[in-house]
Amino acid sequence: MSDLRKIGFGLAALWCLCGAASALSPGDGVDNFRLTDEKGQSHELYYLSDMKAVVLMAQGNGCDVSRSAAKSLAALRQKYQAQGVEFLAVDSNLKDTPESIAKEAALTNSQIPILIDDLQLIGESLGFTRNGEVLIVNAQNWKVIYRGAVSAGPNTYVADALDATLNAAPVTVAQTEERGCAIAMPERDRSAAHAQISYEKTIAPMLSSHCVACHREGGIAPWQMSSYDMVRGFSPMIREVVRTKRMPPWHADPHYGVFSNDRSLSKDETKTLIHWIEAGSPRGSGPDPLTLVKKDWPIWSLGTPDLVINLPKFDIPATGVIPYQMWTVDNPLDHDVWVRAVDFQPGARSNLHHIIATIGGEMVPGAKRDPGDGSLADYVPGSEPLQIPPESGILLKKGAKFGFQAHYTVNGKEATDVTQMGLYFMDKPPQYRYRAAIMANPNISIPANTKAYINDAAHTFDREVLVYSLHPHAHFRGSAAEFVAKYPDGHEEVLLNVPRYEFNWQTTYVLKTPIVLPAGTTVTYSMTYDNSTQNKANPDPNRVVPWGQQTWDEMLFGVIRYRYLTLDANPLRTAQATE
Amino acid sequence: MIRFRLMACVLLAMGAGAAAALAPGDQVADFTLTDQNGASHELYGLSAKKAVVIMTQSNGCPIVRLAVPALREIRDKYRSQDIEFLLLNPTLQDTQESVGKEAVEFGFGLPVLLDRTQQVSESLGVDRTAEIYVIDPKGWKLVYHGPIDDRLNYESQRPVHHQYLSDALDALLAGKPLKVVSVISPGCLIYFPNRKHHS
Repeated sequence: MSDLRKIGFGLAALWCLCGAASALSPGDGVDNFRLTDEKGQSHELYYLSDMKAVVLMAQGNGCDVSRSAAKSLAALRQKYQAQGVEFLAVDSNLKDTPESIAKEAALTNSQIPILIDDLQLIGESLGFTRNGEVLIVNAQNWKVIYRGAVSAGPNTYVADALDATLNAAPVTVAQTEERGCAIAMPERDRSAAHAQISYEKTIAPMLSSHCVACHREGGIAPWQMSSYDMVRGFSPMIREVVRTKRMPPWHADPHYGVFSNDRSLSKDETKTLIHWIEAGSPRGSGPDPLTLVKKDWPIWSLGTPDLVINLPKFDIPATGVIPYQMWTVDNPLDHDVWVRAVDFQPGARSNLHHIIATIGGEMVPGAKRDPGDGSLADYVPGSEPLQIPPESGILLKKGAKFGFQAHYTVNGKEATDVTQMGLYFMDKPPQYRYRAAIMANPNISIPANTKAYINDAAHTFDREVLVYSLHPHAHFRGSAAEFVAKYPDGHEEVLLNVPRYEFNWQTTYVLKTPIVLPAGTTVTYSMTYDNSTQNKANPDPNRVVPWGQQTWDEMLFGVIRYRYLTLDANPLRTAQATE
Repeated sequence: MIRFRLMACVLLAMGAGAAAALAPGDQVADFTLTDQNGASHELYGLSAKKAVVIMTQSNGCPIVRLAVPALREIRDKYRSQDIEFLLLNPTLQDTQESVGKEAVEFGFGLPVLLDRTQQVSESLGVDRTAEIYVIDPKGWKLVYHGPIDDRLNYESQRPVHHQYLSDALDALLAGKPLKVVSVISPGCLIYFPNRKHHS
């Protein structure tokens, strides 16, 4: 071996060792993650378990190496996608915004989704340091097959690694050097500072305000954040569910709209929590706030209701699948009232996953509805009571019937539930009626074995309205939802994007500032359904799925809560509202 | 020179991955642990059994809470076959008292071995709860590592297509080779202080 070669070998070994300490090396496992792309679509790495390999590329706007790599990968994608290889780009550059990334995507036209890693947490853990760098992951065991450049001169590294993997042969060249544009990652070298993040002053208060409402004794969450030991024990799991956006259970794309019931952690909180866990969840000093705080959970947070309705008693088995329970309960009142607030008291809080309460019951295709029928309120764990804005109310007519859809989950233990609904009435009729616009398609038919089937329904407002909230609804196969307004002047606005619809969380998205939609505005509600085996909640991917109230059937059902913006000269005949 | 540099990287990468989990075919070392009721269990003391099935558990994990009834069903199915079924709690946060409470509350009906020092779990290469280890007492070889079946997850409405554990036991009892020896397992990640939790 010549001296030059010896030096080269030594340098290579040194470089590899340095790389191994901070970055993922071939053979290392890649943890799961979920990110939203430049089109607002959600991607989860482990969803791709039906693939053979996943090619991840660090992308950066305006970087020549990145553009050239994207171009090369676009060509490889043409060849390898049909053979079970998925291609994704990850943009971890702080300077790149969703808008500028969308422009870059249009420019390079690679057709490769660009996942927006604005918190840099995924880029950090993948060890991406330069735009243009590629990481190939084996989708059968989530281990790194290759990291480095797409190619160098005559060496087609990525194509060679894919060929080897597809032929179940070892990858000859598993790591090369990538010389693309450096990615500025301020937190990457701050692990010493992350070890100093205070459990007492930062982490415990964050968990108290965002998580403990459910993760407490008697809450719906399966385990309690009752001490440092519990949090540390679950810390790798907390990291996993935060990275995959399973928790906190808030599914709106933060890029569109601001919502008053937002349950998410802020960007800074998320980064702090993950970095604390990655630093080994250090205890630090000081008392443990989670053992000290004993919050009183009031029975009715708005005070004693004017009317309490008992829902039917329901026995929950330890295991199995429980169909949605549909109940009708009589309204005991002998006069019309206006409802200003609604609250729920779950009996078996650990099992009750949601209730959708209506006046008159849920919409059934073809069935006639009374003009007074419609949405009342929803219960989801951790939610606040529905408080209708002071100038509006919901009319509850005497003789009306309450409809309830209750969804229970099993948790390995039998239980009995009797949930109560508390209603709060107005002293006098409101100026406006609190209305619901329903967007539904009862003729839906979702093809079998299809990963993304989209269907939509629209509603045109013939009067100027003030919109309070948006509610997408589907069952096990719902995977993404969107509400888009098309204004009379033709321009469109996304009111709500839910890149990852989660049927377990029937969230009503309450706008922090109600928005005015001019007369003639059409809102289109679309739902994407995943009727494939890759949807782990799917009971039967081989079935063409029709409309139905039960979870194994599907619904295209969206609700907008609103009121008319201006008073009506002709009040409703049946109501005493001024409107 | 480039070629040498790349070879060096491949070798180093292989070296780094060497400290891997126990693989099917590997021998499981003997251990003795006490359960939630204070009873002692020694693995090699079970040499008369036809198989030993161990499933990892932690209090409060929704996936393992749904897995225990499925494991109990399999235990009942093989009741006449002299197979030992055990749960193993590898956590630092759960105590004998809290595990005892969870076992009663959820009607486990199985001993839960408490691995307070995590040494047994580390040597088994435990990653998550609800991981099954099937051990053949003839030679103490690990024969299957993975989930009970392909339904187990946060949700349970999917029908089962692959009964991994039953299939493994059937093959073991019949003296036939196992078709599936290792499957990626869903469950709650376990905290190990010396393990890197950030890849």
